[in-house]
Amino acid sequence: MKRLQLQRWSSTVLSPRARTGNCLHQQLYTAKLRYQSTASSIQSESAPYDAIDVLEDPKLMSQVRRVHKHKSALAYPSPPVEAATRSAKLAALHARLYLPSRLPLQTLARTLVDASADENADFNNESLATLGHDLLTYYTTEHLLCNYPRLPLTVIFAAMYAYAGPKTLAAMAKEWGVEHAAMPGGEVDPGYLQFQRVEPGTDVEANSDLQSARPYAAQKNWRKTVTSKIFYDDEFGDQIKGVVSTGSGSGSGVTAELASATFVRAVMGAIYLHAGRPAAKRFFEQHFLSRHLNISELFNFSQPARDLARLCNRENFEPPVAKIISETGRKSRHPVFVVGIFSGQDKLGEGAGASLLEARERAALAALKGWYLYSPLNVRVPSSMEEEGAAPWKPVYVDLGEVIV
Amino acid sequence: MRPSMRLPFREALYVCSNCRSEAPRRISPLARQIRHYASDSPSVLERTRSSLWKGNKAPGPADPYTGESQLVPGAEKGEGDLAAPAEGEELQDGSAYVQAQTWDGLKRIGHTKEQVWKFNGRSPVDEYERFGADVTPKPIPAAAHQAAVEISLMAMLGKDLASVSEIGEHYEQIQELIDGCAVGSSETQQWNTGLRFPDQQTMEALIFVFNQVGVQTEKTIESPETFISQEKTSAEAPRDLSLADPVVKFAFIKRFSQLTGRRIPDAAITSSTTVGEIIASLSTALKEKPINVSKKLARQASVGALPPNIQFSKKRLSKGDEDESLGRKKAIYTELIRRGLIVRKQRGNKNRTIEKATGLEPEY
Amino acid sequence: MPVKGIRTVTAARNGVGAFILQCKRLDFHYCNFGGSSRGMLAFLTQTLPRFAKENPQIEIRVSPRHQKHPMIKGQYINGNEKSICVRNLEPEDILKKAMILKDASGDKLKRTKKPITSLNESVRGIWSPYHGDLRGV
Repeated sequence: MKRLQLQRWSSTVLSPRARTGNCLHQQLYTAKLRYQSTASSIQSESAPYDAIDVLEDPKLMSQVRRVHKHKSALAYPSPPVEAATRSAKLAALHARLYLPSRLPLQTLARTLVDASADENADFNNESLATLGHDLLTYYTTEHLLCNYPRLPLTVIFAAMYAYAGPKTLAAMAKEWGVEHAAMPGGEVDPGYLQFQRVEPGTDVEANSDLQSARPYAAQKNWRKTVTSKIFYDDEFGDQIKGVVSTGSGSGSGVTAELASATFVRAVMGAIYLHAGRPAAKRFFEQHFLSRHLNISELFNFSQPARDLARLCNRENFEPPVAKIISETGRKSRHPVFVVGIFSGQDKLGEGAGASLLEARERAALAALKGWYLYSPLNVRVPSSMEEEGAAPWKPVYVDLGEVIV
Repeated sequence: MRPSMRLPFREALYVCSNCRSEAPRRISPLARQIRHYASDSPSVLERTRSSLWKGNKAPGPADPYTGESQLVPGAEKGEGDLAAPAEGEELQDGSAYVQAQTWDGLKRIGHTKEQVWKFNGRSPVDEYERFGADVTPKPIPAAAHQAAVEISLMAMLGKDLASVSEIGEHYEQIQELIDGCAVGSSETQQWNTGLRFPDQQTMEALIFVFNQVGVQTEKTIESPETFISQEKTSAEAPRDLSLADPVVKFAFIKRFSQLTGRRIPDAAITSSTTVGEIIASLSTALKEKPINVSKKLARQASVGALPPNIQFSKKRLSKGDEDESLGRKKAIYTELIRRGLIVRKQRGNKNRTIEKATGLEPEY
Repeated sequence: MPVKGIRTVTAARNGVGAFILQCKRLDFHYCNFGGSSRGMLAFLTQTLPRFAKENPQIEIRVSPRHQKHPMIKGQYINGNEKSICVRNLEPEDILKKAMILKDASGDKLKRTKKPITSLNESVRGIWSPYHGDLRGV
């Protein structure tokens, strides 16, 4: 009897990447990888603090220390805990974000210390950011999936990126009035975001090592299916870059964008830890969901007419037919055609264009968007069941998914 | 007046002391001219005489006053005197003479004004202590009372009143005795009889103490002392004590100013005739001190009345402070030191180090 | 691949969810001895603690600048700075000036021609010449 190849079909289940897409697993997984590759792991305490290597010269250091006000704090890589209560900047930031009073200033100060500034995991924001990232991704995902059940996966990736991507988070940190410290150190005001900056001229993309569990991940030219992106890649459909490559490694820094994003995630995690789930959700709604995103602008169709035909076929509609609704100046320099796409008696979409083909494409596009952007009324998200006294759960609409061509 | 204008001092046989001191410095143009051009020709007096007598055969002997001046010897050869011995010395000490290569060990001749103290050192005369520095300032009524008691005592003893100010601060016991005394206001004109002691012992002690002040006198107190009654122990000088006597006024104001540590305006001194008026002139409030914001805020912060979003500083916030709070100060200074733009200096044996930027301050 | 996603960034709508006050820092400068700072000194010691308590989201810095007129400087989230000289002003007038800086957005002052700006599409839609009743010539 032939043996079952257990490994093959169970590999996706057993793979930590495939099972959960959360940040924590990424970290544990990558940490193990790094350990195997004899690189220093995240928790390594032996890694020397080399924010400025010249400060290791004791004579120079003593001279530099003399000109500082906070001489004793200069020895630490990040501001001491007691400095948090003295910082007016931090108190103002706390109030500006309407953070709950249960979230102490000390924790807020910790969220502002990036792993590249302070490698000690007890003092940097990495753990908080890990938690915050997972919460943020979860809340965004359930919002998108429940509100727009028919969105194609690529559009969901784009929408996720728009809501919780690093660019957005960095913009948010800027809009919150968070300034960046020039260099990390103990004497820095804890109200500044502290991280080790990337050396000028460094290729940011090049030095990030891939941590993907995808087989043949190094083959960049190979086609990657959308389905495989769900399994192997992160929530934005990108290959997973080394998370830890931000923190450890001598002299390596992070970009301001990445550090800001980590800070915002850490704030989310800190709120969840100190003030609980409802406060974290409220914070998410107030600061993330309240931002404006027009999802209909995220689509990029290549052949909308073909897609529409497939869709009608799948849904057992009558095949779509394009008809001219009106036209003007066919023989002139600026003709305009208004074309509608009909499935039997139903008009699926309508578009105007300077040529018949263009008008038909636009009409098909409108029809497809009308289908994909369906949004049910009075949606509830799964996490609403976590509230006290929530009404019994009614299943939300789940779509078949996008058209596969 | 220039004496030499009238009579060239070379010719004059008598020159007064004033002219003698003036003469070498202020040689009149006439005298200089004479000295220059007419050294071989007959003197001015001779020529005058010959012109008066119209001819060379002037009657009588030549002017007995003409001739070398006896009284100002060396007036004309002053410069020669200085030069001559120098040449002589050089000749005499020729064997021991070693030409100096550096100026070490050479006799220093002259110095600038700034160097005076460097060479001479500070003398006790240079020390200055302001008037009243040895007295801790007292409130106005207490100072007035003490000054009144002390001056009455001195008046009783018949001593120089102003010498009270030589005393700085009294010992505590004596101060208590003085505070116990009172100056009666009944006879306002007499300072020497207005003093009232609490008892005999106090009187003797105070008289003994104040006898030491200034010039010792052996004046016995025979006036019948009146002691103050028990119920009246207010330690305040009567306001109607007269200051009509300028000696008393001077002594009182000097002592009063010393004890209060305040300068009394001239207008108040001239216009006031009683102690009360002096006190009234001082009782106007001193100029209001400006609010020290950082101190007040610090006090509020220590109580916890300040919200956490206020940050205040005693000093002006400089660019360097901002650099430090941003964390780039260490980098800036590291680079400055490394490039030699900040030099560390050791000064003296106190091991004090100063940092001095020899170049420009860092531009921000 | 039938459809691709286009990556964008969500646009902030300040005040739709949370409202972030645009003034992030106020610097109060004073002189301890200058006569023009008299009102400022009174303001700093008496009114400022209450003002700070009412506006906890503003970082307030108090620092002396000797031999200079008193000054309030506002730092804004968009990176701009606005400053007002408050020489010889009474504490209540200084409070008004501080409120001006607090309420400002940090942008340069400009004339608002349209009362409403919105990121959303018009509900009524844009008029199209090809729809509706076509009339023959």
